[in-house]
Parts: sequence; structure tokens; C-alpha cells
Amino acid sequence: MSLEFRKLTIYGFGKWVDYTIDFAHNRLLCIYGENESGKSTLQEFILFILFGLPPKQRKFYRPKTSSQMGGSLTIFDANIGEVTIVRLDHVDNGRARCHTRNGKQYDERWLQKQLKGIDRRTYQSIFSFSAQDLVQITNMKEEDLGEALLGIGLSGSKHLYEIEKMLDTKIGELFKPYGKKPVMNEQIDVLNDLFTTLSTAKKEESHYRHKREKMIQLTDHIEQIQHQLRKKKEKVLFVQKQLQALPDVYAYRSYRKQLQQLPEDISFPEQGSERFQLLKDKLLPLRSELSVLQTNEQAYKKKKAKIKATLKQVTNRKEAHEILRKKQAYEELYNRVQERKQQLAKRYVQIDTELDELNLGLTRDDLAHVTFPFHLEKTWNELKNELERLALEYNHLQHEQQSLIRNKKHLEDTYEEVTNRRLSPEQTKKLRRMIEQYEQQSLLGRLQATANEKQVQWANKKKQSVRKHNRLFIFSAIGGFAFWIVSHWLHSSLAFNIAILITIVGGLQWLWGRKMIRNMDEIITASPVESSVSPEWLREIEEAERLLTIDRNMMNEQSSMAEQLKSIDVQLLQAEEKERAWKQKNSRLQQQMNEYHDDYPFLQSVEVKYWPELYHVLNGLKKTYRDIETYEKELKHLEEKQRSYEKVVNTFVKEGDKDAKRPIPLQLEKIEAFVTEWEQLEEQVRQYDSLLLENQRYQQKIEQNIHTYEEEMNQLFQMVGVSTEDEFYKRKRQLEKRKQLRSECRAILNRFSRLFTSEQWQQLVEQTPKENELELEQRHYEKEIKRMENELDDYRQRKANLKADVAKLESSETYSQLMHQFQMEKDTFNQTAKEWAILKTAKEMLVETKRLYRDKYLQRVIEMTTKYFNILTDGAYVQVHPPSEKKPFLVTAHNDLQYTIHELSQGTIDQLYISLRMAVSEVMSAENRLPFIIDDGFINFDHIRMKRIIEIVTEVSDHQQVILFTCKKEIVKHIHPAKVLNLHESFEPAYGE
Amino acid sequence: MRKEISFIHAADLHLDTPFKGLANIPEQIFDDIRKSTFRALDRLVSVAIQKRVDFVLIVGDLFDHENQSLQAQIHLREAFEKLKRHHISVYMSYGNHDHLNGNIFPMTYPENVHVFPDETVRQFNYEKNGHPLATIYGFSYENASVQQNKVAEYDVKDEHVPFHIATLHGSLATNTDHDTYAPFQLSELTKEPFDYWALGHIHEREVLKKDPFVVYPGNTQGRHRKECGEKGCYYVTMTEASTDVSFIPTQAIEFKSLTVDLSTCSHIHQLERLLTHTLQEEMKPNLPQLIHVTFHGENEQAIAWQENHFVEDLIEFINESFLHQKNWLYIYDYTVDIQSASTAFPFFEGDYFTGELTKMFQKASIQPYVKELFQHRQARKYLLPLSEEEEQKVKKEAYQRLLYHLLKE
Repeated sequence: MSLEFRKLTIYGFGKWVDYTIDFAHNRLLCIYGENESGKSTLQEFILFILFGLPPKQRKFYRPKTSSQMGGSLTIFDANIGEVTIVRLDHVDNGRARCHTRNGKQYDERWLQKQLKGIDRRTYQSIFSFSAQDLVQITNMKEEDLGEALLGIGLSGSKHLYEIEKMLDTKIGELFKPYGKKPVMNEQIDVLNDLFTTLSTAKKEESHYRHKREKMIQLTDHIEQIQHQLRKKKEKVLFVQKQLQALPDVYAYRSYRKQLQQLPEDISFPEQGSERFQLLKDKLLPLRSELSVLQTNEQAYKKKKAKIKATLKQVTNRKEAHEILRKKQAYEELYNRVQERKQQLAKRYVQIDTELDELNLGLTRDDLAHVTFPFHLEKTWNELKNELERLALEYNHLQHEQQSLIRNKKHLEDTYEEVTNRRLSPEQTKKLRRMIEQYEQQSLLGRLQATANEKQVQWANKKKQSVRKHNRLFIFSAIGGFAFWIVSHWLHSSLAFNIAILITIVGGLQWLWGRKMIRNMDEIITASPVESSVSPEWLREIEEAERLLTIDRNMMNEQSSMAEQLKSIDVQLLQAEEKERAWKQKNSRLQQQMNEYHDDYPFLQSVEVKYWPELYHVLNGLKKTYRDIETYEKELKHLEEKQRSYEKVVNTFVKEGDKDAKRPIPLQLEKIEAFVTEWEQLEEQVRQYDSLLLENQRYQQKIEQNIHTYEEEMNQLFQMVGVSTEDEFYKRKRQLEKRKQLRSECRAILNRFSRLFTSEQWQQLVEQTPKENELELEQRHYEKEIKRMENELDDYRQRKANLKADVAKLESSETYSQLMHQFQMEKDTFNQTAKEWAILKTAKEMLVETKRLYRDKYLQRVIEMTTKYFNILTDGAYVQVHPPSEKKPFLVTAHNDLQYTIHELSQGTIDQLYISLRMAVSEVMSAENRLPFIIDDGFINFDHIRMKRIIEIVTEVSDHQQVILFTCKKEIVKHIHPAKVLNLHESFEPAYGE
Repeated sequence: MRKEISFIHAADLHLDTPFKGLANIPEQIFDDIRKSTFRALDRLVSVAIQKRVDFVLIVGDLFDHENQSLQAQIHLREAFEKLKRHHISVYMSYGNHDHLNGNIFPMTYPENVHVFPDETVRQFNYEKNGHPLATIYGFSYENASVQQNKVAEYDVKDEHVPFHIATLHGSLATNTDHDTYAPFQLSELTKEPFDYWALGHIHEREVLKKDPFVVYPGNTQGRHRKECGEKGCYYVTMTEASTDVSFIPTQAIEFKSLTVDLSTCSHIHQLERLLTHTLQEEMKPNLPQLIHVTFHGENEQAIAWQENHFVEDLIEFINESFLHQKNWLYIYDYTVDIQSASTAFPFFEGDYFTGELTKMFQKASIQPYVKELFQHRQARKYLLPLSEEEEQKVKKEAYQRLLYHLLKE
């Protein structure tokens, strides 16, 4: 079956517009044209009609001179007959419409079916080739050459190889069995990692169960230990309590024991001991008193006996008493003797001393002879007084005379002086006149002063009376007003009348007062007096008065002094008289004195004036002398008496004492001492007697009291059932002890009742443990507790850890997440795997198909190729070998030498290629031959070869239409002119219908 | 006293079981997805509390041993504790996924939770105000599968108790879509006078029968493309006279499949507008959605878009714009299922390469090609074997892509 082109009509396509080619049943048509004559466009048009063009390319071929783009191609197929394919750019989007002769219309699909799926590319690769293909081949890489040739020849698609490569690449990108980089290999790694992680997580989660179980186990353990621990702690506590209680337990025990030892029943009176004590307190002083009394009694008696014994020994008590009785007299005697002796001695001394002092040559014996009559003293005194009076008189006289003389002289001097100082008579006169004038003037002044004084007094008086009148008037006004108000208030007419009266009286009084004062003013102010004494003048007057007074005084003085001088002269005469009288008296006295000198010679050496005193002295001495004489006599008598007493005393003393030579007073003292002693002893005896008596009375009384108290005590003892105080107190102590013990026991019990049950306490008391035992026990328990606590801590820690683990596991979403992630990754992987499978399938299918395809057609293609190649090379090459493995095409020359394609010349390669293409075309189109289009495929052929190829082409055209485009005249020459279409000659076909 | 009970019937919580078929999920919704089963449980608890139900039935597959996380257990325990605080009892059994012997985290649940302890059918009495009001029957899987029919073991014990509710984790003997466990015939279930058959195991809810009700509540949260739409539990109120069941959705994220017609899109921007618009219409006020898009229709450029990753980029772009909302939308996968004149399969026949290729695709198996990966020592650990369907899909895709490249200008 073969398809051939019958007619080609171009409405517009590229440069071709309204152009028609009638193939005129030619199996071979050579279309000649120079370059740019439109050959390629024609080829393009044919392809366009058969396979269509995308809009862009259609646009490209839209003619510039025609609105229409497209055309038709009439084809003939033995099965379907003649069909015209019309394809227009603007109709049905450039799709083909086919018309059969019998008027049936078909669409593009139908066309494609008729073309048996051959598409543009397949067509091009199988049924057409051009010089360009050859160029491409030479440009191909050596190693690709064989494959490419085969590819072109076999698949009809030059993309096959590319597709395979592309698929391979994609497959390789997805997966390589031993790769690392490809997507799926990476995914595998990811999955592996995930799987590992997941397994770990799963494993971890699978520990959950174990951990839970372990936790429960631990909880049990912990509870168990806690329980034990509690028990142990209780025990320790009990031990500690015991330890703490131990001292008290011991105490308790001891108290109980003591209590057991005490009698169960102890009767004791109420407040017995106090009562007993009270009695005892009372009794005790009594007893001690009694004992003291008894002791005293004994002592008294002993002492009394002793004294009595002593007194019995004394015999001369009477004599002693006698002596002592006289002792007083003796003492007096003795004193008198002594006194007299002293007086005598004193007198002796006195007389001697006085005599010496007198120094008159008198002795004691002289005194015994001298006598002094009683008048002597008076006589001497008168003598003396006379003498003195005379002397005094004399002095007085002298003195009187002298003072008179002195006075007289003085007076005379003074008189003279006064006379000189006196005023002259003129002066006196003048002064007197001045004074008289003045005295007149001063009288006037005094009158004036009196008048002024009166005026001043009136002014004061007036002021007072005005004030008084005013005051009265105001009072009367106020009073009137007050009464007026009162009258209004009380509605009293009496008050109103009083008000009027008071007002009127006040007013009258005031008017009268004012008039009075005015009259008085007139009187008093009407007596002004003139007075004018100047101060200078006043001073002169005063001076004058003073001078006059002085002068008067001096005059009086002079007259008195004259008087005095007269009297002094009288007095002087009297004095002379007195002197003479004195001288007489004096001579008389001197006579008398001489007389006494004769009687008492010693007086000669003594002045008269001392005689009275001497008299007294001598008289005293004389008296003293007489006293001495009396005393001597008396003394003699007294001493005699004294000696007789002393004799008695000495005798007494000699009797009793050997030492009798002691002075009498001492002896007397001794006697006195004896006597006193005896008296004292006797007194003592008496005292003891009375003491004893008293003592006995007292004792009796005390004993009575004691007895009473003892009775009471005995009663107490009876009550207690004892007989002694000791026992009594013992009982009391027992009672107290019991009380104390019981209270202690109670206290202890109270203290521990909270800590121990009564059983525990009972046991503790009955079987009191040792302290060290308890401590040991405590230590043991504490150790146990510590161990258990440690254990507990450990368990707890473990449990906490487990709990945390479990919680972590429970809250952990890791596994869940991983699982999902893993699943998704797996899904992703599977999806990729599918993609891979698709690619892989595609590729494998491609390869497989290629292989099959090759196997199916290769042999025939090679046979045909060999045939054509042989013809073309004129038998130079006898065999063509297809490429295999890595080897390219091989050809065998007529000399059996084999050449690879690379070893051939370009011309030979072209020949081989054309042979191959023609073979492929022939083989492949065995069932469905489409016209073969060759576009200047033989450019490089020389003449001979050209001829040969034309021959081949012609041969081919026997069973397949061939359309040969060429620009070479040479080719045209080899072809029958009827089968040549010259594009340059005319647009019209060169041959008719 | 009026004899009346109300309860929630749920099954197949599959707590913390990862979703399937989600690849390259962005971080911001990862947690929402991960926690969705928990949120579904939370919602279930909330519903129970809100409705003041007497008890909650959970019929097996609370979680998966295969992917058992402690989190699931903890969350479950917390949920039960919350119910306890509201005096709601729980009767639960273990299914094939959470069978007793496989539990690695045995939990102590609060005392309001009653677990069927073994594979023998046993019962618990639900008492209200001291009177037994309901008897709940059931068993737990001891191992991963129970092959025998357990229905015969269900006997109503005390007929004086007003309500008898049977729980059964298993599948209809006729249902072969899933692994068949504890198979039963629907007709068998009516032999004993149970008031309600609370089933579990099948993830798609279905009321198999009314009077008495035989109910699959489905799972509480869809977890892959096939479990799309609303998922939840049944709220059941029962009086002696009547039984009412109502479905209450609990899912935190909904799976959805969308189909987008590409016929009208000659440019990728048009597709963007179309897709955005479609998604905006699909948005729900309070539910995030995971969306699978199938592009279909006639479009010549679709393959080019696909091959040039335009579609992929576009989806990524759109996803980004929908992700930042609270109730996000996310296209997790798409299928391009388009008709193309040039790549219609199988189209090419004859001698030529593409024809050969087509023949090749028609007869060849892809297994030898992909074993390099699928039997790779490392990779195979994480790969699921390709199903027949997937193989075909791969083949088709490969063919389309090859043709696209072969025919590309």
C-alpha cells in the first residue's frame, strides 16, 4: 500500500500564493529551483497540510499578499481512494478537513488514523532527508554517531536517545541502588534514622510498663518501711520516755519502799507537834530557870558557909572597932598638928621676910621687946598728913601767884589789840543812817507780801467752790432725771414732783454760788501794793548792820577786860599772906619728928610719911610673933595626944601584923580594911540568906508550873501512844514522811500518766530497766531508724525518679510524633517510589522497545543499506555492519577489509547515510508508504555517483512516490524532463493536466 | 420508673495510628493530623457528657498494637477519667488491632470502665439507681485474630433486665473486602432477643438492620483516602418500646475526594482559579480537610503541565493559601486522569516505534523494572508492594509520559 500526492494547491503559504502543483501521477517528481526559490516553503507546506502547525508557525507562514493562509493536498490511497486534505489557518484553528471523492468528510483524527500515527517528526525522520541532515551527522560526536544513525533510522525520532538519557537522569536523581545523594536514597537514610529513633522511643516507652510495676513495688516497699519506721520510732520514743522517766522511777520505787516500811496506821493528834512544841517552849525556860535556881542555891549555900568560917577565925574585932572609932579624932588631931606646924613655919618665914624687907636692922627677938601703944598709929598718921598738907599748900600758893601774873599780862595785850580794831565814830554814824532808811522800806514790802498771799488763797478757794456748785447742779439734774424715769415707770406723781423739786433746787444753788464768787473776786483783786527794794542796796544794808554789830561787841569786850585786871591785882596780895602762915606750921612739925626719933631709933632712917605704914607693918609683925608663940604651945599639947593614940594602934597592929613599922595611917587603913571586910562578909551572909529564901520560894512556884505542862505533854504522848518525846517526834516525822512520800509518788505518777499507760508504768516500776540497757536499746533503734530512713530515702528517690520517668513518658509525645512522622515519610517514600517506578518503567519500556524495534527492523534495514551502498559505491563496499556494543558502523570493502565509519571519507559517509535513510524508509514504510522527500541530499556526490543515486531513486519511486527538491541542474539532467518542475520557469505547471 | 437508657456506640478509635498516604505534610498541620484521633475521642467524650448518656460502648480497636503509643493509652485513660467524673460508664472490648496479648502498655483504667477480659463472651450489668437496667455482652480478642463464629456464644442471661446489648468486633461472613474476623451471618443475630448489636471492625458506618439494630458505627476518624466523609459514633436512646439511633460525627479532620474537570482549562492559571474556587466551596466552617483531587476531562496540555511540575507547583501554591486558616484545607495528593487525543492509550499500532512501544506496554509487566528498588535491601523495608491497580497506574503514567516526550516538538 502506498500513498501518493496527486495535487497540491496553495491558497497562501509563505511566498506562495494561489499556486498549484499537479503531481500528475508521477512517482518521481524533481522540483528544481535556485536557492531562495521557495523549495523549503513548499516542503513545509506539505508537512503543514499533513500534520498541521501550531498557530505561531502558521502566523509565520501567513502570506503578505493574500488574506488566506492554507491550501489543500489531494492524496491517493489504495484503500480509501482519493482524498483532498484542506487546511486553512482561520478555519477550525488550522485543523484539517478531508473530503473523499464520494463527498464524505473527515476530521483531523481521521487523517491521523489514515497516516497510521505518523507524525511530522516520524515523517521527517523516515520519509525525508536533506543535505542538512548530512551536515548534522558530520557534526555529531564520534561516539554518538552510530547510535544517532541507528536512532534516526530505527525510531523515527532523534529524541529517543535524549528521552532515555533524560529518564535515566531523573531515575538517577530519584534513586540509585548504591547511591547516597539521590532523593530516595536520602529518604532511605531519613527513614533508617527515623526507624532507629522510633525503635529507641518504642523501647523507651516499652519500659513504661516495667517502670509502672517497679513503681508500685516501690510504693509497697516504702509503705512497709514507713510502717516499720513508725514502729521503731515509737519504740525509741518509749525508750526515751523510759530514760527520761528513769530517775523518777527510781525515786518512785524508793518512795514506795519507804512507805512500806512506815506503819500503816499512825495516830497523831491534831497539830500535835505544834502543841507539844508550845508546851515544850513553855517548859523549857521554866526548867532552865529551875535549874539555875538550884545551882544558885547550892552556890549560895557554899559561899555562905565559907564566909561564916572566915568570920569565926577573927578575935580582935572589938579592939579594932575601938581604934577605928577613935580614928576620926586622931585624924583631926593629926591634921591640927600638921596645920599648926605649917602655920608656925609660915609665920617664921613671914616675920623673917618682912624684917629683911624693912631693912631696919630689926630681928625676931627685937620684936619681943618693942611695944607700940595704941595712939601711936594715929599720931604718926596726923604727922604725916600735916606734912603732906603743908607741902601741897606750898605748891598751890606758888602756882596761884604765877597764873595771876600770867593772866594780868594777857589781858593787857588783848585790850590793846581790841582798841586798835574798833570803828571810828564817823563810820558808825553813817552806817546807822543807812539802816534806818532801809527799815522804812522793808515795812512796805512786808505789807505787799501779805496781800499777795490772800489773793492766792482766794483763787484756790474760788476754784473749789465753783467745782462744788457744778457738782451739786449735776447731781440735782441726774436725780431729777432719775425720778422722772421712775415716775414714768411707776406712774407716780410723787416721784415726778420730787424730780422737779430737785432740779429747781439744784439750779438755784448753782446761780447763787456763781454770784458769790463774782463779788469775792472784786474785793480781793482790788488791792495792789507798790514795793521796790533793790538787791544791791539790800546787801549794803546787811553789811552795815554787820559792821555795827561787831563794833558794839568789841566795845563790850573792852569794858569787861578792865574789870578783870582789877580783880587780879587783889588776888596777888592775898597770895603773899598765905605764904607766911605756911612757914610757921612747918617748923612745928619738925620738932615733933625729932622727938620720935629718940623713942624709936630705927625711925631715923625712915621718912615721916611712911611712918603710919611702918606702924602697921610693925604692929603686924608683933602680932605674928605672938601667934607663933601661941601655936608652939598648942602644938606641944596636940603631939602628945597623937603619940598616945599611935601607941594603941601600934600595939594592935603588932598583934596582928608583924610589919608594924608602917605609918599609922596605913596601919589604920589596914585595920579599916579588916573591919570592912568583916562587915562585908557579914553582909554577904545576910544576903545569901535572903537569896536562899527567895530562891526556894521561886523554885516551888516553877515546879508547880512544870508539873502542869508535863501533865499536858503526857496527855499528848498518851494520844500518840508513846512515852517519850523522841518517840513522839519520831511518830510525827513518820507521819510527815509518809505524807511527803505519798505526795512525791502522786507527783511522779501525775507527771508520767501522760507518757505511760498504767500497765507500762506498772511494768516500769516492777521491772525497772537499767539506764545503760535503755541507752543501748535506744542506740540500737536509732541506728535501725537511720538505716531505714536511708533506705526509705533511697526508695523514695528511686520512686521519684521512676515517677518522673513515667510522667515524662506519659507526657512525651515523641514516640507518637515519630510514629506519625515515620508513617508520613514512608508514604512520601512510597510516593516517590511510584514516581520512580513510572520513570523506571518508562525508561525500561523505551529501552526494551528500542531493542525489539531494532531487532525487528535492523536486519532488513542493513540488508537494504548494504544493497544501496554497494550500488552507490559501485561495489567498493560489499557489506554494512550495524553498530553493536561500543562499536560504530562497520563496512566491509570489496577486498574484505573492514572500516569503521570514522575511517571513511565524508563522501562515503554521506553515501552510507543516504543508503541507510533510503533503506530505513523502504523497510519502515513497507506497509504504509508515504512519499519520500529528498531535499538536495546528494550535494557532495560526483557525477557518477549522482547518476547511480538517481538510478536508485528512480528504482525506489517504482513503489514509493519520491519528491526530489534540488538546486542543481546536474540532477535535473539525469531526470526525465517530464518529471521535473522548474520553479523559475513558471508558476504554472510545466506540464498540462 | 421509666425504663430507658442512652449510650454512645463507637468502635475502631485507632488512637494515634498514623494516617496513610500522606506525603510531605507541612509542619503546621502535622500536629493536627497526628492528634486527630485524640480529638475525635475528645469529641466523643464531649458528646457523651453533653447527651448525659448512661454509658459508652467501644467495640474494639481502640488503638493499634502495630503503632501503639503510650500517648494513646494515656489519652484514653484521661478520656475515661473525664467520663468517670460525669458518672458515665464505659464498656469496652479489644479487637484484632488491640488484642489483649499484644498490649505493651496495660493501663489501669478508672473503675467506671468495664473491659471484657477474654475471648469468652461475658456480660456486665449496667445498674441505674440500684436496679439493673441493661446487660452488655461481649468479648475481647486475645490474639490478633478470631476465626470462629462467636454469635452462638451470645445468650441473653437474665430476661428481667430490660435491655440486652451485644457487642461484637467482627465482620459479616460475606464481606471479603476486609480481613474477616469473628464472621457472622446477619440472620444469626436475631436468634437471641438482643435489643442492639453493637458491632465494630468495619470502618465504614452502616446500619445493617433495624429491629433490632445491628450497627457498624465506623471509625471515629478517617485515616486515609478511602475513609473519607464524616466519621463518628452513634447516639442510641432506648426505651422498651423503641430504639433511636443517630449518627454524630467526631472526626477532627475529614478526608475528601474532589474531581476537577480540566476540559475548560487551556491555561494553568485557569486551572488555578478553578481549583481555588472548588476548594473554597468545599471549605467547612469547623473542620480541616485533607483533599484528594482527581483531574479529569479532555486536555491536551495536562500532561505537559504535569510533566513540567506545573500541577505540582500549583497545588503547592494553593495549599499554602488554604493552610493558614484554622480549618485548613490541604490537597495531599492528586491524580491526573485525562483524555488526550495524542496520548490516548492504547492508540498507536503498526510498525513504528510508538506502535511497538504501545504493544510493549500492553503486554509487559513492570515488576522486573522496579525490582531494583522494590527489592533493594534498604528500600524494601519501607515500601509497600505495588498492587495490581497501582502497577497499571504506573504503567499508564509511564506510557503517557513517554509518549509525551516522544511526540514533543
